Amino acid sequence: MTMIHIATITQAMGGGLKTFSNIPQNFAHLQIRMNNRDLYATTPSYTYMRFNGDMGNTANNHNVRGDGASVTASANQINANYVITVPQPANNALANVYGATIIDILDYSSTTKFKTARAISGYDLNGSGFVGLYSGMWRDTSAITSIGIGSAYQEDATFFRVDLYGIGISEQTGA
Amino acid sequence: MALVMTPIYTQTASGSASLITFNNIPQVYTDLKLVCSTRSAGAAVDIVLYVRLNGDTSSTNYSNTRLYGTGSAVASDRGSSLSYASSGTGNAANATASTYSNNEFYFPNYTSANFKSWIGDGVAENNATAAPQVLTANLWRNTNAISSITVGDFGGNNFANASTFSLYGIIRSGA
Amino acid sequence: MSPVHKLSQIGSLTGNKIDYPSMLAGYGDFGALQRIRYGALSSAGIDITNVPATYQDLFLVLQLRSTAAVTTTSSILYFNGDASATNYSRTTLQGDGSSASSSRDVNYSQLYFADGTPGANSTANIFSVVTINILNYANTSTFKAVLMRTAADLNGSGITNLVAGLWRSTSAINRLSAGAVSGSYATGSTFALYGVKASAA
Repeated sequence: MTMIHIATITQAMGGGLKTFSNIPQNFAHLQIRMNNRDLYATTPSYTYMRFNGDMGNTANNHNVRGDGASVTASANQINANYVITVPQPANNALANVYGATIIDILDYSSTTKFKTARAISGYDLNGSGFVGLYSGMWRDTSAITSIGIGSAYQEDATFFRVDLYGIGISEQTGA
Repeated sequence: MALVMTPIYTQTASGSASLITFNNIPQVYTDLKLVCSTRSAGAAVDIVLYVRLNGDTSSTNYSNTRLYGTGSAVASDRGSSLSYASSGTGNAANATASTYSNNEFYFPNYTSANFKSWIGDGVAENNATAAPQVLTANLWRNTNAISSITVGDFGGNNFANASTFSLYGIIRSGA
Repeated sequence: MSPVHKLSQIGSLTGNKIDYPSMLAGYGDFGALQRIRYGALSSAGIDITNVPATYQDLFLVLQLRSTAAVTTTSSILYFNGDASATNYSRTTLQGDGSSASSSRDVNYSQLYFADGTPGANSTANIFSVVTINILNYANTSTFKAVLMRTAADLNGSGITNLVAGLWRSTSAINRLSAGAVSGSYATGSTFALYGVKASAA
């Protein structure tokens, strides 16, 4: 087993969060590849991710990013209710532009570890934009069985397309 | 038809090893990808995750350039003529419990007769403001093919139980 | 150390559930990451034509060095032969070993990337590493977003960066062209273009 496409959600046009459900537990890691843009004219605008529908304050996220002029590092949320937030163009930004995001989640099926996600993400609007390395943690040892994705402000779906992949593991283990 | 990305080997730390080594790496691939989910027993919030190749302990053959965020500040630094490369970041004993880092190292053309350069992206989350994200450029000034990879903080601190290290081979050519 | 692989247990697909038997049919053991083109870079660079539209994303891996009598240089990338209109822009995040910075290119005729690639005046045998992800490259209603990652440490100098690029065209990408800004690519420079599939078809 190597990199296997699990599922796709496309052209979400509102109607709440969109969710990958019943994620199989047979992979080692997950990767999400996404083109995102807000349905609303909200600036700044973010796509966020939530695991297993958990809306408790059980997440953290941090980032280091550039805006074309300066670099910042921040702790976006401590005790947040969403795991990772990445920037996206607002609906009134340059037309036809979607952000690009790749998120890697290691050991998503572990039942002894909290879940840490790593993302590279950015968008350019020919005069503005962001790019950065983003991280997020879900403070729960449960295996990830669902991933909800939506807009941080409107609790609504935003993206053009998001794909979920499973990354395989060798059966040989041991230190 | 051959796999493009093949799992080679996975190691899971048991809590008694301060270094994890992949020996006798098959020379049949084009690139290598190593993903690491780590926690250290070191008395710190986070540690630097170093990489050494082929057991080369020469004090001058490694170097790296880093950009990193700390959750509140951002900086760039450099290490030159080192005995290992500062490639990633890892959670340590004083970080939020059950939290493990998320790192990816990409080694292209690992069997070539050129010096070996690789990408390192790493994050180590924490339920606090302080949490590192790093983007690294790494160099091993040796023309030998990579036959082993060692990961650790080289400070004698054991990896915590359930730290995982997954090595993948990526083949560019062939059937 | 022989790799051992086995197909995992599979489930069923209804709505967002996953149908492993149908998802895997057609993949066999090949997986979602598949080779398109690869090889040594010619001195002039690459000009990959007839890129199939059957993938979801493109993933390009390069190792680069220039023959120019400079310490470092960059490369340029353009799509579908569009190298003269001002359709490219980028936002960068970069560390140079002493400071972190962010910059922007606006209305460029090509997309700059692989900053810090060593030239002839740098220590021999050092090549930069570049990965480029182009998501949704074959879509005909969106502009093309590009994520580019470069690592170029030269033992005492060098950069690491992450770049978000944009090609303001809704055309599907069917051609990728790249070359060094200064000089030509040195022997030992390589490229590999992969497609990332999002279905078993």
